[in-house]
Amino acid sequence: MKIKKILIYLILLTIAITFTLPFIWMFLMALSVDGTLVISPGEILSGDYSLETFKNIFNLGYSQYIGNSFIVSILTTFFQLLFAAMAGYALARFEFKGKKLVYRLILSLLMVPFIVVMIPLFIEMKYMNLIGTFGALIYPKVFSAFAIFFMRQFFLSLPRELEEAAYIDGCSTIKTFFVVILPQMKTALATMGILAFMGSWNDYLWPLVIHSSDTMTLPIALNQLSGQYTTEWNVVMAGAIISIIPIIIVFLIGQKYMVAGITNTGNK
Amino acid sequence: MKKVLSLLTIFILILAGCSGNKEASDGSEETTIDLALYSVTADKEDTLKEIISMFEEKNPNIKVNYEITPYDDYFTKLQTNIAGGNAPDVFELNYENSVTYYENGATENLSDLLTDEAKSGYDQTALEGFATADGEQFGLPASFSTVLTFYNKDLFDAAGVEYPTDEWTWEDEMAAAEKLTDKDNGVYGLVTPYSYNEFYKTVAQNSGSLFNSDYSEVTMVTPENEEALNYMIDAINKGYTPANLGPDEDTNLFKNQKAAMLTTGSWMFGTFADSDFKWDVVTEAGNTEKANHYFANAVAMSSSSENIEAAYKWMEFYTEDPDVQKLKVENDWETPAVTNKEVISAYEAKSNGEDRSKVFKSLENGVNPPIPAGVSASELADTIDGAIQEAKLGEVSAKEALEKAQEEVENLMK
Repeated sequence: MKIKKILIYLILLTIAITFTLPFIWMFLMALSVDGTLVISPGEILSGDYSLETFKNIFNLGYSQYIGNSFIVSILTTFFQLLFAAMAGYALARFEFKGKKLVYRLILSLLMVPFIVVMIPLFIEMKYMNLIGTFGALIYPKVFSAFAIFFMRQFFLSLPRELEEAAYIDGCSTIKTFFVVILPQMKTALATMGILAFMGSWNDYLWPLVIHSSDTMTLPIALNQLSGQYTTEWNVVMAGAIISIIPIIIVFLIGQKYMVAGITNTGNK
Repeated sequence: MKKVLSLLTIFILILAGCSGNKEASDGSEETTIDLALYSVTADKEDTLKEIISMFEEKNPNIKVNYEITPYDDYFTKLQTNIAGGNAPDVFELNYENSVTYYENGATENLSDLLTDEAKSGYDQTALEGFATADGEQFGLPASFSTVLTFYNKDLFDAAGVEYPTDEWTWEDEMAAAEKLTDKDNGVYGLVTPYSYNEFYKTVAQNSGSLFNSDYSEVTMVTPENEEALNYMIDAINKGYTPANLGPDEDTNLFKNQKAAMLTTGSWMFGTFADSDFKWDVVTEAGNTEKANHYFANAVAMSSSSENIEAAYKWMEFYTEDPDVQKLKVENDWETPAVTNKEVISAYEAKSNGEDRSKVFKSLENGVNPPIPAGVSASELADTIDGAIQEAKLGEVSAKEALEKAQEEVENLMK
């Protein structure tokens, strides 16, 4: 029995080390003075370490890019949740002509890769005079087929009695939605919120083609640290560490909702 | 209800606020030109701002907007912008990608705008790199880097080998590499990547060529090319050159005094500046002729630009004005491709002991990779690279590898 336990822990430990090693390596590289890519075990302890690289990053204007990323991610997440919840509610509860068609169209959008719509979207932004603005970064990302689908599934699992009680007490549809229904959806909102925030924070292709110097987000700025011929890996790694911190915080806060949310998705 | 409405209002206001109105409001006839750049890294942005304000001072009616995109993604963004009808007036191109943009008609012909006087201010090798075979100039060279042989003087002294010279041939280089290689201490005589970039250049050093002069035929399998490839393989088989190099491994070998000679670019001057051993550079050894790989970046004008005059003014100012070039040199930008003596001596004065005149000397015999019409430079490089790798591992002979490359490149060009 004991041997079995030890064995299991040994295996788990090996897996844990395998998965955390890249992170540890990233930290070591970020702290190293000359950014040597290959460090042998002997050098780990004897190497030169300093926090200089992090200072340099902020000297390069990274506080602005971090701010931009927060603006874009928070607004995108907020409006995506709002619209997805409203659309999902309508699709789950209301009866109207063409409802099935609308729902299927939204689902079919899940299958279209973003790159296909990128250039049309770009031209659209151009005519709306939005290129290089925060609007262009946020506006197309506010609609998410997945978020609508996700929300709809959750609304379907809510008992109708809740709304019926609200109606009998004289609540309007909109008030029912915001005051009675939405508070029941905390798990779903938190799960979708984390996913939306992570997606937006890490989004690369769209911000890349549409950004201007003033609206550059962190992932794009991060790549700016590598040059045409050479790359200073310690600076890149320090930038990468800065960029994952918010994601880790958001995930830690929302983790319990997220896990609960995922286990609930299948319920109907 | 109110809540929803107010939320929607906020949303619309945010969008409206962000879109802003960018048109000039003072009524004067101001031209604004947009630039797209990649070679300006974050630490060089301040210098760019300085150059722009110098330009705007001289040309009060022109306003310059710039946008920097990291090199890795620059071309994705540029393509989308051009396809979306939003091309910047002036954009930066490197040699390898420039042909594609020219062929697709994205660049403006600058031949008529370029005066003879302005022409003579550029390094001719670099200038011709951005002109078509029939002389159409589609870009002005902004900067270049050359590939050189870096050598560790201390290791040469220890092995009692004379320092390399510009006159060295492959034979001299191999003889020196043999004496310098010290397998017990893990010292390689000649660290050089086994890659397409090295291959096409080694071929040129042996008077060979991968294509005929008008690119109508692939001439991969010739005695010259075979000899060149065998020379590269030999160095690996004899242990003078490492068979596999990880990312940055070649420069780390040199930094750690495990490489007596290293083939790399002039962009490494800064990296090796504070080494605790003596080193210098020399142009690469040739066989029947000298050939050195050079990289060049240029600025090109969009064919859809409506501000041709203003855009051209900026292009010439940015690439040729001596004060601008000196400012670039001072701030460690890539070497300007100009003939101005003051700029060159300012660049040479930035040396930490290395002989920077070799950079210009190697450009005299500068070559860059062949790019047949309709084939992307990276596609060609990957194809040939794949074919020659097998020869390195000894699975096939050099000749067989070249035959494979011949066939695959022919398919690529169909």
